[in-house]
Amino acid sequence: MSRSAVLARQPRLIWPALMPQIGLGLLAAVHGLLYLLVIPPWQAPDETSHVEHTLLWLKLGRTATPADAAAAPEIGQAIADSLYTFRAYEYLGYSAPDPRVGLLRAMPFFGSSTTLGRFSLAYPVYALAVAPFAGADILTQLYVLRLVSVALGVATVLVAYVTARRVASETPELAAGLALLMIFIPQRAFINASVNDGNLAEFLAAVTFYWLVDLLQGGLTGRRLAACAAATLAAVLTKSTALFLVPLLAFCGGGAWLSHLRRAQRWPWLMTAAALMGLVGLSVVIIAWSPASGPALAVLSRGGVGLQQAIAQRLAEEAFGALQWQMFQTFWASFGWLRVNLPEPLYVFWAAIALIGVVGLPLGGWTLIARRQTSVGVTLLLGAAFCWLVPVAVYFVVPASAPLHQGRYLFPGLVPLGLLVVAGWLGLVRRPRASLALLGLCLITLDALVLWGTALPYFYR
Amino acid sequence: MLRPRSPRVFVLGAALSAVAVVITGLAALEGLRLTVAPGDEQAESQTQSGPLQPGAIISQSVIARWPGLCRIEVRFSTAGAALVAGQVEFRLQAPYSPLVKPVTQQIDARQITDGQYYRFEFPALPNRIGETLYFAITAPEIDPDAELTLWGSPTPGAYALGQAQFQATPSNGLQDLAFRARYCPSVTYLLDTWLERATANRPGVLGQAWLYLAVICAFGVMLSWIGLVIYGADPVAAAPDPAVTRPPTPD
Repeated sequence: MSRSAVLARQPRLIWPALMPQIGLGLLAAVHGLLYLLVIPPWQAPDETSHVEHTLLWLKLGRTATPADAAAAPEIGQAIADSLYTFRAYEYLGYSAPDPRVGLLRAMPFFGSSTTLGRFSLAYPVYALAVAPFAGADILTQLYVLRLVSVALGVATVLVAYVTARRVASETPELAAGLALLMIFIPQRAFINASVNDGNLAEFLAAVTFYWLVDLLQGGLTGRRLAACAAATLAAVLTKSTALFLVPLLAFCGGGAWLSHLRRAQRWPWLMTAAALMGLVGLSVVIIAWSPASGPALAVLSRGGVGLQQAIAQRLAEEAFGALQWQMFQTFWASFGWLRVNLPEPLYVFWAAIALIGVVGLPLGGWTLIARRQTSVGVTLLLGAAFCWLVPVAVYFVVPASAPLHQGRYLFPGLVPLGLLVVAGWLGLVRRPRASLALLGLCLITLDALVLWGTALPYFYR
Repeated sequence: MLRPRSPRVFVLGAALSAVAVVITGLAALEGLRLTVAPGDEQAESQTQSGPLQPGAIISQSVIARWPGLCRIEVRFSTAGAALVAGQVEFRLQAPYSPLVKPVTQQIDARQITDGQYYRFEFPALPNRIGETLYFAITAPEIDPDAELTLWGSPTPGAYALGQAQFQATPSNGLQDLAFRARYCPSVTYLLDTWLERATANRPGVLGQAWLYLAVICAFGVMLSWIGLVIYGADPVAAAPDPAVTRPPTPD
């Protein structure tokens, strides 16, 4: 029976069923707008260079290089002037350069942040959105771009909600909980209210995950496989932190293919075998097609050859614990250019939220996800997603070369991660709604304390 | 709207929403206060004043940097001993202000803990920014043998806007008391001041205060939806299991 036929049988349920989505979408939008307004201009990681690259893309119609920036100095000049206007250096604890620096590239700190020369699908998307405002001042353009980010964030929440309903339709609390978690992770709200290529990558990763679930639940069709491959490719082309989707696609595609051949969907070992087969082929194809194949292949080769070595190296570092703590902090909330840290008790609360989710998963959370006839594949998918996010954490969040460690690079994997955490919460007690209520209140309280109690005094005192 | 399954569920949802709105509202108010009127503090505590015996007066002048002074905290010393009896009196006045009426409070000396700040709280004063206020500590009925003193700083200008004064007890070189002043301005003042800062230099509609107020109000309205989303979600509306309704078909 087709989906439309099912819905046609339940016409009175369509509108009520959509209301939570509308409500959560509006909540995500308003919450995003609040962050957009409260966070001062240029006070998000690399926002200056993302805006510069977008405007150069708009002007040139291609990926810009540092030479292009030099040939179009008016953009860098406008950003540099704006940095002075909005006391950007004061927020960092520095004095603004005196005499005044006229170009972004020549400015200390902000000038060293660059995305030029690096392809990302995010720039043409942002450029398209800001095209009607090509003649506007730099601040108007910045806020138009921030608005696009908020819209992407809302879309991501909605896709996550729909995905969670597919995963556990008998437990609508799981979908609501995932949406609330995504809305009220302060760092995600903060990044989604700023200009950043990660926002599109997160959205495309969520779309990919939806199609992967659809593939596993609905069976192999050309349309589904094409949708999965297209979404994965787009996500990888946007940001390399989405590379974990490639093995996931291979895993699911191979599994669905073998299941399709055997006319059976309840053989987990087939999925595992398929992963090995599909991994090589699809990974190579997608990576090879990608214009970002150079850095992507470099990452994969590191992953293939040196993952164990890299982990051992990290473990040997004296500051390993501190790095992990920094990763945890920057996953939940660290505003500005990672300078606005919160009182540690707040992070402890988030750690407790994550821990409760982990503990609750084997105690009852799995049963929420694995209740369906088609849930074996989805369960494996969630497990595989979690495993494949580890290399992301090792290579992108805590890279050996960079002094900053940013948990936000895990956001493209937020749908599977969030599903696991929320399922753990809901599985702990017999009444998932009570558990969801507690989780929701915890998240809302922490977000309020961060936004109003930390960000506001930091930026406006 | 969401067809909650019973009135009880609806009430639970509404209550949950109310809690979310109240939590966020309180956090917002406190955040605005911390932002706009974070308060004053003179934290240096290297020296102790002379003893607060009957007849002695130790006072400190303070210049209000915000309206709505509502709390003064003073750091006492009892030389490690617990005080047994007696009253300690706190007086606050603004002799040059036509609006601020004197505040007087008496506390039992046994409430004072050695080395800790004691909070004297009172309704927000209608003081103006820049007005000079004086608070004084006396102990008219204290045991003369009690070693009740106040901590402070011997550094001139430790608190640049005022100074400590001593009557009938030695200053021991103390220039300023260790104290904290908390302000509780009106919500209107807090919002106006923050909006003025937030809208500065913003282009077009982003420079308009009403936009910020509208988004804050809209957020409050959307939070009031939370409970209904959680408690009102109808499991009957769940999509059917595709495995049952849609067997995989060859493409």
